[in-house]
Amino acid sequence: MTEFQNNKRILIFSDQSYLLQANEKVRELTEEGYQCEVVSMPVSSNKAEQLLAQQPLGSLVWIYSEEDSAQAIEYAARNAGFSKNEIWINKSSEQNTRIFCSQCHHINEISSAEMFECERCHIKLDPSNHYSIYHKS
Amino acid sequence: MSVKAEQFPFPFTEDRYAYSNNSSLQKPARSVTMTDRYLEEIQLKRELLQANHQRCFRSLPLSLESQWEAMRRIFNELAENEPEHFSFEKRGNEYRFQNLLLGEEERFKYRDLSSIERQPLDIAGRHVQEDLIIMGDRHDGLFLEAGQLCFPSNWSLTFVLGMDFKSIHTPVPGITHKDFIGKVERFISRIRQNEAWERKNWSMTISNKLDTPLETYANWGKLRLQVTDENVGELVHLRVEVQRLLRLPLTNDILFTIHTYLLSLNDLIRNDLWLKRLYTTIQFLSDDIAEYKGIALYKNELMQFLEKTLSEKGISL
Repeated sequence: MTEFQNNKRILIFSDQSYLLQANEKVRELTEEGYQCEVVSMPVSSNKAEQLLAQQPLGSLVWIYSEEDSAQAIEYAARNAGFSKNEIWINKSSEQNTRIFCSQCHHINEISSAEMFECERCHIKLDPSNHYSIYHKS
Repeated sequence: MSVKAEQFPFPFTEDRYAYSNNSSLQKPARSVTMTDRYLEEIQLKRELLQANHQRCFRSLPLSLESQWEAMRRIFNELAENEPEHFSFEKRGNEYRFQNLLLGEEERFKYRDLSSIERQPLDIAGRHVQEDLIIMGDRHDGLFLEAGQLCFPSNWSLTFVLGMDFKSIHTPVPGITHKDFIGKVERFISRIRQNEAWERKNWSMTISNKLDTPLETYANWGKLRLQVTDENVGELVHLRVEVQRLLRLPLTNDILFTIHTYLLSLNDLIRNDLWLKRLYTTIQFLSDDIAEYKGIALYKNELMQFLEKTLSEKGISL
């Protein structure tokens, strides 16, 4: 029989640099009645997929990691059937904005949203608010 | 690459512009059609695919099942509706599609990737004038999961790959007002298996260029600055996309096809009703929509041209 958890369980992936932050969050969440499990990264994709597949329906996935590793876990979670609303990724400690170049597809990391030159094709770009969750830019 | 006026799907049924889901159910359900520009457009498509494959074809691995289904569906349609030009035979799991216009054939074993050299949607798209998009219907919405896109109107397939339906339409002014885009997505999600719906979308473009991707905006966008009172009728084209949405019955995903037509203003104004409707539509267009449709930079020249033509023809509004 399928057991619905009503969003009370959270599987948290965290790499070493975010572990303190993740553990602090776990304490807060536990007080609010959530069941949290922290998985220390790096973790193999097989292991991640196995853990994700074991989660009961209604569980959430939180990821504390830098961009590339976070994306790998996010893909694994999506493949395991988690929706985008059930996956949360912490923002990078850096405040840079990722801007997709409409001409050459290079993703530029810039600190302001003003017009700038693409570092690869050198076309002038005027950033818009059109955002791709897939490209994170 | 303009089409003959007789084949042009003029989009305006009223004298004013308003957002609407102007979709109509197609009976029989069709996802692709042919015009007399077939050979020229297929040649252009293949040149674009050869030169810019990464720009014109993109897919996510999870789209493969739908790509197979879409390819089989399209080849079936072509053979059934244009039997003098195409044939499609099945023997066990092996298929043979023949394109007699091009003197080509495609052989494949269904769902066997080792039997084909390109992905299925990339094969099917090379035999039809339409751009082809697969929208995956997931439990949390529609997502663009594959596409062969050679003739886009100022958008990038690479950028929107993997994007959800609402996010794709973010640049359209006012699209979220009264949750319009949410209603359109719900409408699409309710399309039944094997049903096809058709709508027309329009914009304006300079020259008869079909391929206006976001990636080459720097080349074609500046043409808008070249419109003058003297050349507006020749340069400015009404661009209409006949968009069809078909529910694939096996995967439950959506095959979205876009057939693009261009007609110069000089050809369009030969039809008095079209002239009148275009004029009134442009007249009442809001500034943000005019900007989005690429008209703002030459709207004055356009309006003067249409007014002068109406006056010369003695047409009252």
